[in-house]
Amino acid sequence: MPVISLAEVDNVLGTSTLPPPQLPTTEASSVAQYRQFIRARLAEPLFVETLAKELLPFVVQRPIMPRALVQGKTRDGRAFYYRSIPCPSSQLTSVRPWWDLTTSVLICRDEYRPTVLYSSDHTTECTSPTSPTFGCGCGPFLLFCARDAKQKAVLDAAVYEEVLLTLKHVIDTRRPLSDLLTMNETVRSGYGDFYYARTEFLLHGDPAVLAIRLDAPPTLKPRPPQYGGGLLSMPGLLYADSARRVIMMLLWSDLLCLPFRSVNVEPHVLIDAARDKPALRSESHEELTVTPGCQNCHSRLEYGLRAFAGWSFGQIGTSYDPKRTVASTRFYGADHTDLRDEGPATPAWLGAEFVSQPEFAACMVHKVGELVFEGEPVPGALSRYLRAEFARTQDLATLVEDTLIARTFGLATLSRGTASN
Amino acid sequence: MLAAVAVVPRGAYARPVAGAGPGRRPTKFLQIFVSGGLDSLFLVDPKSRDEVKPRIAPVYTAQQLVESNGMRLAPNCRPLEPYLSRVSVINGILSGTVGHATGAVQTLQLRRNIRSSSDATIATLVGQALEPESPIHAFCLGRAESLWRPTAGRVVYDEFPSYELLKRFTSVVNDTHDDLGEHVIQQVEGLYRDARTREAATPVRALLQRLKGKVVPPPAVFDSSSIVFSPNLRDPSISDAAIAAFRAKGDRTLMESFQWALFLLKNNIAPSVWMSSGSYFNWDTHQQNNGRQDVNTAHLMLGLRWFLDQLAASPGTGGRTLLDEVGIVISSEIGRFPYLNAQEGKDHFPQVSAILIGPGLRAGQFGQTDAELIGLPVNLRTGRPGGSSDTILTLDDVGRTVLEWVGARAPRESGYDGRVMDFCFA
Repeated sequence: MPVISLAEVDNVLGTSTLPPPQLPTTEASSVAQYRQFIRARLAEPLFVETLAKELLPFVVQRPIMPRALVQGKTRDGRAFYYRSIPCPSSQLTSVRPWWDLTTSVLICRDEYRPTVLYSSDHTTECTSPTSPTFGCGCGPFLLFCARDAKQKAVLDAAVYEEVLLTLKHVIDTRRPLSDLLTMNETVRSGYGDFYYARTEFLLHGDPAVLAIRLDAPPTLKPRPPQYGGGLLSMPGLLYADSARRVIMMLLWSDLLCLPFRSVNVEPHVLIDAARDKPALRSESHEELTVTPGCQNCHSRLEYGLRAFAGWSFGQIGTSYDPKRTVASTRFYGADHTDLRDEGPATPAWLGAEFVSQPEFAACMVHKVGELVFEGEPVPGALSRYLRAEFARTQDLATLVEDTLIARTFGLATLSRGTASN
Repeated sequence: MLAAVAVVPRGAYARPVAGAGPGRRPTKFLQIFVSGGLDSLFLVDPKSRDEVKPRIAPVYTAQQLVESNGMRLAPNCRPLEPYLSRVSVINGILSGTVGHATGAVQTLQLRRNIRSSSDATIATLVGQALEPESPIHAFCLGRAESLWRPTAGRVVYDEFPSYELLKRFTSVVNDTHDDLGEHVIQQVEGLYRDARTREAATPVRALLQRLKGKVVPPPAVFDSSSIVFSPNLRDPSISDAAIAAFRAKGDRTLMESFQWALFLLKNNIAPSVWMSSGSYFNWDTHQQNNGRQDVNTAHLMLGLRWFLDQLAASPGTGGRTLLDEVGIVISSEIGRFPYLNAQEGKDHFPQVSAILIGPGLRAGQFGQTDAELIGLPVNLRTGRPGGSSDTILTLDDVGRTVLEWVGARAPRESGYDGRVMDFCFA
């Protein structure tokens, strides 16, 4: 007899709000019935969301924070926008906004500033919530602002949606999970396209790339060639934090289950390194890869960041400049003594490295086990079985399905040859 | 977005009655996580101009400082004056990391030698020590950045802060039925699951029993701005713009967490509570450090004052008040670099301060920092520089000391191999 009911399966998968299963009997008891039910549920967006939060918590952590404009009273028959305080008419300037290039709107001059894309000391992009103090405006075509709060919410949602729908595509089509970290194409809507178009405009200066059909439904489509590495170069990750090392750390932690541990960063070492370097945080620090006390973390962080050298990170927007890219990098595992590989410094190579590490399969199996067993210990024999299977197939749907079946009917059910196929 | 409730005993600890540590111990516990990075200069490690190197700010005149019980604190600590006899401050604690996420896990566990981010938090361990049989050992209040999801053995994740979950529980318990019939329990179990939580039914039922008949506090309305900026407290360096920003931002999250912490402790819902000081963005002051830290620390201290006043007014056991029963630890995951950066902010620093409040403590300010705010070695007996066995204080020492304070058995077996800072105890 099953040890958990179908209703409990729904709780595990986050699909309990869906209508009850259409099964031959209301009280399913066979492995086949459970598999049928689980497979139907795995196709549900609610399940994908549950799984994403378990496997990829970093992609749901932060709002993107494009700044929302406020629409003031119409002036001279045209829409008038400002960010915080309306300005006199004498300070208004006319701009074609990215959301409708066929029209023009009025905006306060100091909130436009199309040429100011960096903070005053040029160390960071206009990324901070306090960035108005750096002199950043909405930028060319108001690319760093949303028309209003509603549009900002849609833009924010599009970033998360791209991650979820691309993961769903991988699950639905039974592509190996490794593709999520190596593929170029993603599933995204018109608003999802906006972020890529903005970066392309900043790179090439051609306003034609901004002519996006914003209401286009999500579909699988390619990205410019620099966007390899699947998830690694999606806006949901690139924009997650202007502190780029935070993002790097999360990759090791969430994809490989390898936490960063402090060994001993000494205050005096840091003071000596940074006392007279006010822009230290935004600079590259490859010297830290060989600095005792720093190297165990920074060997991973700094070499990982090399793969993204062409991008500037930020919560409002990123730009890409191929001139900033570097040729090669390294991949370290647990610490600075654990060099795994060397290769081209691209997101695609980095993604391929992540998924080829033995810790990747083990980490994914561990997380799915945590999800399915709801925190209860996962039997060691089952873990070993699932790790071996997942390392071979990278089939995420099967992993979830088999883990649920094993919890419900026991490992023997899988080893007797009824594992998913 | 995640909050957690730690509920499962994992090798429950019995409380010893003798041994090292304080004469009196807390029977309840609150950890306040100042998420983002506290600048100790604004609170518990203030300096005068001649004590620090040029370019380090803020500095204070003697008249500005709050001096009591051998402590010398920054002006923003003034609201705590009535309670300073219960406060032990430790400065110059080596945390050994400048990463938020690493530091956050360390702060949740109050140690550096993290084995796994899934290990029990200090709030859970303390809850287990204080009340092994409690169905809920520790509650997590307030939003923890998902980066830093609090973890504690078997973890319950939910979509919103735990106080939202509590509101729903208490609503069902108090409004729907007179007694806890099976129907109510099923409803609440459903709520729990709807919230994508993952726990067995037993602790939910036990929690409901404890919540039965408890009055849910109304939403917190606490306008501290009039106090923060009253003429005798306001620092002239706080700009009008900062005051306006403070008022616009409000303090609902912090106050709501304090309010729910009080509710949980006062009503014996859980022996241990973890709460966040609010948004990490507020405290991670890479830009405009001084204005923002000033406002944030003032805000935090006023909230804390409100909380302590409430404890003092709440009956405890044996004729005492809750003030005599609750132990509080306040700290950040990282410190702030002593020098301003190009954006007038302060970057990260691998050293923190901790504030302990509660029974059994020796009031005072321990640990010491030098002219560049680097922690000096201190004597483990006195907590002050000078002695043959001087050593740098570490986060491991704080974790071990807190477990000692609450009477946890065999902290070393849980991986807490720091040293007991006996100087903290009366």
